[in-house]
Amino acid sequence: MSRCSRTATFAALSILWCGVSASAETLRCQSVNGNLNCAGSGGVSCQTVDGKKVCVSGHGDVVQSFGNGKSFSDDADNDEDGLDGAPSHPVIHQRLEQHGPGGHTLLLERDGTKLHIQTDSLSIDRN
Amino acid sequence: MQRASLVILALLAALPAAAQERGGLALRNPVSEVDTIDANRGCPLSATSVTVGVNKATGTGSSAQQQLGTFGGSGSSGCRPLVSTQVVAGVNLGLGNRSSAGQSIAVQGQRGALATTTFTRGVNIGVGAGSTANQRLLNQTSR
Repeated sequence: MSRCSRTATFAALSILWCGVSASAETLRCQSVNGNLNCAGSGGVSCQTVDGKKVCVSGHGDVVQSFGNGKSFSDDADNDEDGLDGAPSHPVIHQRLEQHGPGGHTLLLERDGTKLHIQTDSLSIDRN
Repeated sequence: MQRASLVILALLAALPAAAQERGGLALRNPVSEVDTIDANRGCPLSATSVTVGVNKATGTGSSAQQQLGTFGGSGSSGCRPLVSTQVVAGVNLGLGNRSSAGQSIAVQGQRGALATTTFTRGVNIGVGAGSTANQRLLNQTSR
């Protein structure tokens, strides 16, 4: 192998290696109260911390579900019976989905009632 | 020169002492809190629980599930620590393509008679293409 072809092979391999090492996945991250939640391309990550749920989709869709987070108090005078982490009032379940970057479909769900909005229609579903 | 050295030495000794004085529990109602301490005689002064989990799915199409639980005993009836501290930390990684990583950490402990401190932190990352990462952290205290 001539010196020139060897150099060309080395250069091609270097370019290939650089190209591979430089390629990177897109990671979508969300931080809520110091808790980090990330999703790669095509992936879904859901994190529930003390009843509060946050989901991230790598596609760029927004998939979020909110529970009822708890609040902490160091004041011993505020002691209540039962679990402190348990919500003291009814839990409201709320979910928001948006599909497609252009927002082709939007679904808002709260306590079993769904509001479904599409680009060409609007429907309200009750379960 | 000797006087200056003495002053510096005195300052070095005084600063940690002052810091120690400033630390600890802030008394809101000293009388009732002293009563609480007195009533809690024979019980533990403090209870600390630290639960940490690390879970990762590295291979393509792999799955890794982790479930951790810490449950603080109630001890003798009506006896709880003066100060309770609970820490929950979790790291959940779906690294491989189409991998699935699931982590669940549940901690249940007693509330302190004087003070309760809970700290919860989680990192949940699905790096691989098409990967799924689910993390659930629960940090609860009960009476």
